[in-house]
Amino acid sequence: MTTSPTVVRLADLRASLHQWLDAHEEGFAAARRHAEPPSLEAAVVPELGLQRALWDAGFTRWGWPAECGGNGGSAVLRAAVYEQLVLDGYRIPQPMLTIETLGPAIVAFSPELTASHLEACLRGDEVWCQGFSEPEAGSDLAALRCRATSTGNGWAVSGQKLWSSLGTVSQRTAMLARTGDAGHRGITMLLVDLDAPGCEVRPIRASSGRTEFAELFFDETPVGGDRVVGDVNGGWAVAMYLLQWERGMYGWMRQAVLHARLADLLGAVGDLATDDADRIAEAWVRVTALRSSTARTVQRLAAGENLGPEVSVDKVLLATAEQSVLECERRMLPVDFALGDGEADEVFRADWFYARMASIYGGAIEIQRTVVAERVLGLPRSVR
Amino acid sequence: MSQASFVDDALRTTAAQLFGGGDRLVPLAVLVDLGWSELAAEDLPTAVSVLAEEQGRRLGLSRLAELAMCAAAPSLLDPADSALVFAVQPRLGVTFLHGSSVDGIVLADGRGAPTFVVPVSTEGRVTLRRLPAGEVDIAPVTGIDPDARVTRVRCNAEGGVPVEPGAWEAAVAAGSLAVAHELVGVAEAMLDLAVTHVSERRQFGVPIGSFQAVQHRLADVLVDVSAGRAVCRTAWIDRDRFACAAARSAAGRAFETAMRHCQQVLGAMGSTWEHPLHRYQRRGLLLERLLDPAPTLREALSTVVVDQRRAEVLEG
Repeated sequence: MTTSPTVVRLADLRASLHQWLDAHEEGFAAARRHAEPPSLEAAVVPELGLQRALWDAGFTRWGWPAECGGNGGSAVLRAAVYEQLVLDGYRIPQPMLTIETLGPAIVAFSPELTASHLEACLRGDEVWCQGFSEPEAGSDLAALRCRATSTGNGWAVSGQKLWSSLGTVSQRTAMLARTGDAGHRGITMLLVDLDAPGCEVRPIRASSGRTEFAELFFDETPVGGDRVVGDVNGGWAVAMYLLQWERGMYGWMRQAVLHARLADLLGAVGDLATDDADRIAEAWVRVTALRSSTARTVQRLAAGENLGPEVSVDKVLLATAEQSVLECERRMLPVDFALGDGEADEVFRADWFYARMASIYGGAIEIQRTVVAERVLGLPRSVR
Repeated sequence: MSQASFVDDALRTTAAQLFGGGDRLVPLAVLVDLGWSELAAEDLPTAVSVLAEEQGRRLGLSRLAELAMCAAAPSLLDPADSALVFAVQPRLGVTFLHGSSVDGIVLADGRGAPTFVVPVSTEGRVTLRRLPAGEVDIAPVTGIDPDARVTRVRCNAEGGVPVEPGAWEAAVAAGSLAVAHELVGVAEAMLDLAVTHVSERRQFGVPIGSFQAVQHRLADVLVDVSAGRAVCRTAWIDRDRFACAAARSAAGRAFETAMRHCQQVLGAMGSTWEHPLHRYQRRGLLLERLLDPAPTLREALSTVVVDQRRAEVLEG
């Protein structure tokens, strides 16, 4: 596959990726789903190798504009590539999960950073993480206090960020900083180098056992004026745009994985009691709902639609799908789950703990329900 | 506005008038005059989804599920002179066992049909037994849904004429989608009733819809209604019978969630005979008995889930 064509059919893209993965099986054995090590840092290394090869071969260039080295075409092509990776037995490289939230926002809000920095991230030469939450700003994101002060030709950032996924393996963070008044109007998004002076990354070990996230500390960390994503004090709009992709494309990626997990589970358990079969069937329907709903979301986002609060539906569907699949696994593979000491068992348990977080990360499910109630159903605003 | 959505809207308006009239039963002849055959031939997904959802939303009655089944498998029966007998016992799935006593129902105005068609499974194959009206025991029943004008049909299940391979499965798939869309319509109507109520009803000086406990219940209903509709949309892509069973199941969940939460937030008012809520509950509870997806879903596990077979839902 060359990197210069301007159109590709979805089915052709899937088929050529399938063939290519077949031909390169040996080189990416460590990036296969069943070869995942318990350590996130160890898992990411072969995933970045796969990510780079996919970019160089052109597959993941589809759906990104030429300005960042892409082949152009709809973001729907990216969705097809992610699903095909899982269908062929591979992990979706974890850095691509953050790419799917940060990338579209960078493209939409910063042509300059798209041209100067995005390709390194897309190719896997760098990993970027989100820097959104803070100790005092979780569900109430607009309460964030990490401050960026103008230095004339740039910014000095001071404060703390929390729960940055992949923070321990990242080189940069797209973070939200307060540059103006309190509330959502005084926030700016900045792309900050994590090796800059005054910046410190501390890993946080999750209940899963993995260092799923990190906390980021900034002390007068210098950031260039060219690192603003969108408008100064316009960061809220960038974050809201970004969250739509996080709901839609992240949910889409996870449905691919959850489908594969159900297939694995059925392969592992043999004969099923009727109630177990019904429970797996129910989980399958939930994953199907996630797939159907996020496919539509991705398509509408790719077409330039602004979906707004509706995407909260996908987030609720994600949480229920994740948890129903992993609950099936826990119930039906109880011995591996409780007593297994192999690496695969450790990963299994870590994934189960991770699924428990699906109703918390990226905006707690209670917040999503409030958004749906007030902004989709139009119910009267609650007292906060 | 695209051509497709223009057709959708026009059909929706027509359907709303049809099912919202004085008599909510829309006879087969009216659907035929409306141009059902042309609509179905041109765009079955639009025809079924729009009509069935409006039917559900307005507590309408028709033989739409059968029409959808016949559109997918014309050899099944001619609705003009035959009515399909639906199984309602969960363990039976969608057919009657050979040698058992048939105890099923016909929908809407099917009771006057000269012939009744009973799907009988014989050693894993589906056969259709066609019985003249005189050979079946027909009794109108009130049951859970007095508005539904259900007719209970009893006879013996003996083997009949084998159905051509795949035809019954295709019919059940399309019928499941019709029932699924209707359940989505019922659930959505219940949600509308609840949203209106909690926005107006005030307690402690504020509308009760401003309490998160109330909001979150109704948000869950919306999520499940959206999911039900999304799975239906996907299932129409290649009308795979497993995907259609998934749609029927997801729509069943939307109804169950609506039933659980809407009555709760409608409070005592929603628990009266005067309030329309129970009529929707009753309709949904009846529809839930039709084309039970559980057996098909169990079968899907070994074939579809393990093989990772699924429709291409992306376009672009």
